[in-house]
Amino acid sequence: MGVKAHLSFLRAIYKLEINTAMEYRFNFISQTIGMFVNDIFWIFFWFLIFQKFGSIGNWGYHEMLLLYAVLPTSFGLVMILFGNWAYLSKMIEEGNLDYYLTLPKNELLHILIKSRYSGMGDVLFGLGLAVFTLSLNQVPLFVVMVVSSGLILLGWTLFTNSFSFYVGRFQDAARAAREAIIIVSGYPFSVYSGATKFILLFIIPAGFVAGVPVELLTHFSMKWFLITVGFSLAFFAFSVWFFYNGLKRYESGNMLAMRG
Amino acid sequence: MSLAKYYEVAKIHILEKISYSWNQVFYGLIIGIVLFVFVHIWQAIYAGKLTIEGFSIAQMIWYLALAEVIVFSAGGQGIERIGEDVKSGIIASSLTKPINFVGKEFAVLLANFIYTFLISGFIAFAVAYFLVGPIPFHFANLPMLLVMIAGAAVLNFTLVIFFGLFAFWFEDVSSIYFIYQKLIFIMGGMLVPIDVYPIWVQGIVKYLPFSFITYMPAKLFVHFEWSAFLTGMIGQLAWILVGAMLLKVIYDKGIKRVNINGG
Repeated sequence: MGVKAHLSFLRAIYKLEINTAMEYRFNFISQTIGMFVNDIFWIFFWFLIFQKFGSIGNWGYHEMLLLYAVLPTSFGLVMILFGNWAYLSKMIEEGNLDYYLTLPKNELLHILIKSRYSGMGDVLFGLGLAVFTLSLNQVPLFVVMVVSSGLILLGWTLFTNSFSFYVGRFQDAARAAREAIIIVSGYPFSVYSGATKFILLFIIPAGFVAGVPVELLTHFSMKWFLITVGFSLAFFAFSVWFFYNGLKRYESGNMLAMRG
Repeated sequence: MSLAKYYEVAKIHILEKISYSWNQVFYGLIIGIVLFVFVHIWQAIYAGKLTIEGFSIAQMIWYLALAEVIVFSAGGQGIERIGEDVKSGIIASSLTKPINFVGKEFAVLLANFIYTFLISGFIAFAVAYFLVGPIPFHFANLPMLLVMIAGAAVLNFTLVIFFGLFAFWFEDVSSIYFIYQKLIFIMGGMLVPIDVYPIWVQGIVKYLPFSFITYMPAKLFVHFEWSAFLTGMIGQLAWILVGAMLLKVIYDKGIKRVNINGG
């Protein structure tokens, strides 16, 4: 299947998702507002913390606002575009991949595509914050950082959820792993050094989700820019490989179901 | 009403968890990693200070360890699971069974709490011990602490089922789950003890149910006081009563919206 066919496939699916969102308008709006409120809690929390302590490891409230411009935007985009990411483990364990495997589309892409409306609230919040915290010349870097951050989030979730192929039941752990990378990413990255920093960059890549992007937005470094972009692409590619390698072990659920 | 069937539900749930021990071990490791990160943050915040709001750094880390274990064992994601049961119609089929839906969910949440608490607690406390060493703890206070943790769990289950049943009106309750999680993290005092907040914020959050789920048990763990224990007990009981009443109202109203089409 070529790029053009993929694009037309994506266009058709997302058009359907938009129509569904409009059909369930109340749900769409309530989910969007819900996540927006959820993000307000975070910046209020950090406002209180920085009021109390002034700074944490050279980061001030401004850096935290930048972090909450990057993190909700990338998280929200993944939710909107690939909303099944968090349910992959469950789908594997319950044998729900059969439907996708029999079709001529790219299996992983097809499995992941699903719009979770709550992501819209995150994206609006992140972009809204970006308008207040970024200068115009920072916008291109912000866009690249959001994409690389999204790739890391998606890659990590794909990687941890794919363990279900190898060890069986892994839902709770995969969920905890996704929540952990989001929690860890939401803290000032400046407090880490040495081995801890290395682990949080290259083993559990939480640092690349928001910490390094914020540091690049405040003090640009070509070396770290290239590392961030290169690592996010390589890590995502590795996760895709890990998924397909696991897929060879997939056992069908022998489930007959209609999919509307 | 026989409790035996709910006991069986809980037992099956625990046996299921035991069968997939990898899942739980990895879950515990993740909790350990998050705690490890908290230690770094707090080391940076303490830098030179001996105490913050009466907490030494060791007390702070043990506080966070217990608070985190309670939250991760609390099964907040049950909101999404219950929401899915409402949406998919599983709740409708449960009406034909001789087991109460709310009671069954309660049993599942309780089983999950006990099992996850033991596994993740062991790992989180080991990480805390390894990173900051022991803190003084009087084992005579252990029964009161366990009562407080049990009260926290029951209050949390009531809220989780209550919010999950919002799915009768909302198509998707995942944003409600995220908001509930944030309320517990921030207002419940999982990320920092609420003593760190300004007085006016403390004045509000100390009376909300979330602080009785995490802050109260964790604070008593590192700094036991009878007056705080009694306040915590009263607060938990009051909120459990309020929660149970609200739960009954929302369940009764919601179940009337169920349409059964046979099949």
